Parts: sequence; structure tokens; C-alpha cells
Amino acid sequence: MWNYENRLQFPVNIKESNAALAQAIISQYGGPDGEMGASMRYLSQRYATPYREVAGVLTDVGTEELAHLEMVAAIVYQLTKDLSMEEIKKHGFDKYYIDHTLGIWPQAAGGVPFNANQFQSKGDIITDLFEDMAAEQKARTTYDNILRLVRDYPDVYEPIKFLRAREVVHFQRFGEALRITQDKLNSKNYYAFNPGFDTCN
Amino acid sequence: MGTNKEMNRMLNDIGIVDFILVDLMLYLDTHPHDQSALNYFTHYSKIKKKMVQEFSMKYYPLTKEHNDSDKEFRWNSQGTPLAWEGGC
Repeated sequence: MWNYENRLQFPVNIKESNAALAQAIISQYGGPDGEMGASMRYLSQRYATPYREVAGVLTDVGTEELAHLEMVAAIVYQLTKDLSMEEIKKHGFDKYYIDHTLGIWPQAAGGVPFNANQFQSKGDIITDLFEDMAAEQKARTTYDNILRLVRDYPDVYEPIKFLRAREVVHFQRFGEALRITQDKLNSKNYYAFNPGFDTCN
Repeated sequence: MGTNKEMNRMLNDIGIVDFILVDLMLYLDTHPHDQSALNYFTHYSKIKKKMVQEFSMKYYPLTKEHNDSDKEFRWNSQGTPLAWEGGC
């Protein structure tokens, strides 16, 4: 089960509103390669894993992604909480504001709502681990894109840089989990059976 | 009650120690028998426990178990900051 510590994993202290940045960064909240998808993906995949080490990685990375989700929300919240009506209208933030005012709602920068189609839980440990490695790279690229946008805003740059670095570490861990899995399976033909489903007699 | 600056510094330090634990935890998930990593983990675990206890007594409870007052449930009360509020 989950416990909560009343603090962010990395500090977020943004002093100036910026509706344009908020609209872009919200993609890491509810977008296709964002933290909500990441946490739901890993936390969903762990049930069907036959190996404890992999289940451990999925639980622990999935939990850390929830902490990242919270950080992204804090960034978007702090970028929007003091917006004036003029700023809302000027930056096209009115489309989001109409349905959510200044509330935080999971969607991509383009408006696509968060949905389970953004991730898979295939019930096949090899497939799932490759999906996870791809997911971490996609998240890393998205953070790279955000960093280019926020170069002149150090308050925003720092937490985003932290989040990006974590994705790279997660990628490494999933790679190790895949190696552990491959070691446990028949090395001559590790597609021979799905250890989460078939039984080997 | 210490100053806001002191409180933030303490919180920041807790964040650093916890981060060591999180990163080590992920490493230990795939290297469960690495003795030196395990020793590091145990060492910093104790430190974090102590820091969270100190912080919660001085400022506000960081976890529900650290609610120290039997007159007020300070876990989510008026005086307790929300994690996402940020500084001024």
C-alpha cells in the first residue's frame, strides 16, 4: 500500500506565472509520455510478473513516478496560480481555463485527455520491460523538449532537469530487470514460453 | 519554532537523504546482494528516521505516524503547508 510524505521529492519554488510554459509542461502530467502514464503502467504491470526482482523494480519506480507526478502538478500550479484574466486570454490558456479554471487536470499539451491507451500492460514480462524502457526514453525526450523551452527560467529549469535525470536512471534499472529476466529464461530461445502464463513441464 | 529559512534547509536535507535511499533502493532491487550498497542503505535509513522525527517535532508532521499532538490532528490542519505550494 502507499504512504505519503508531506513534501516534494525535489523542491519547486516558482515565483512568476507563465501560462505558455504551463500549457506545455502539463503534458508531463497527463500526456502520452507523462508521469501519470508512467506510474499507472509500472504499477499495473507488476501483478503479472513472475520474478520478484522485476516486481520490486516496477513497484518502486512506479511509486517514484507518483512523486514526479506531484512535482509536475506543483510546477503547473505555481505557473498558473496568479494568472490574470488578461494573461489567460493572451496565451490561449482560455481553452483550458473554461473547463478547469486554474485546477489541475490530466491532459496532454494538445488537449488530449489522459487515457489508458497511453500505456500497455501486456502480461508478458519481456514485452512489458521493453515497453518500460521505451517509455523512459520517451519521457526523457519530452523533458529535453521542455528544457529547451524553459532555458531562461531557472526556477522551472532545475526541477525539470532533476526529473529528466531520473528517467535516465529508470531506463538503466529496467534494462537490468530485462537482463535478470533473460538470465532466468531459456537463453537459447527466451520467447519459448511466457512465464507469466504458460507452465513449463 | 525556528525560522522559515532553517525549516526549508532542514526539509532540503531530508530530501537529499531520502533521495540517497530512493536511488539506492532502485539499485538494490536489481542487485539485492550488494553488501556495501546495503550498508549504505541501512546507514542512511537511520539518519533519515532521525531527521524526520526531529523535523516533525519542531515544525509539522511529515507522515501520519509523526502526528505528535493529541489535541490536534496536525497532519492536514491549518498550520501545515501543502507540498506543492512553493515559496513566495
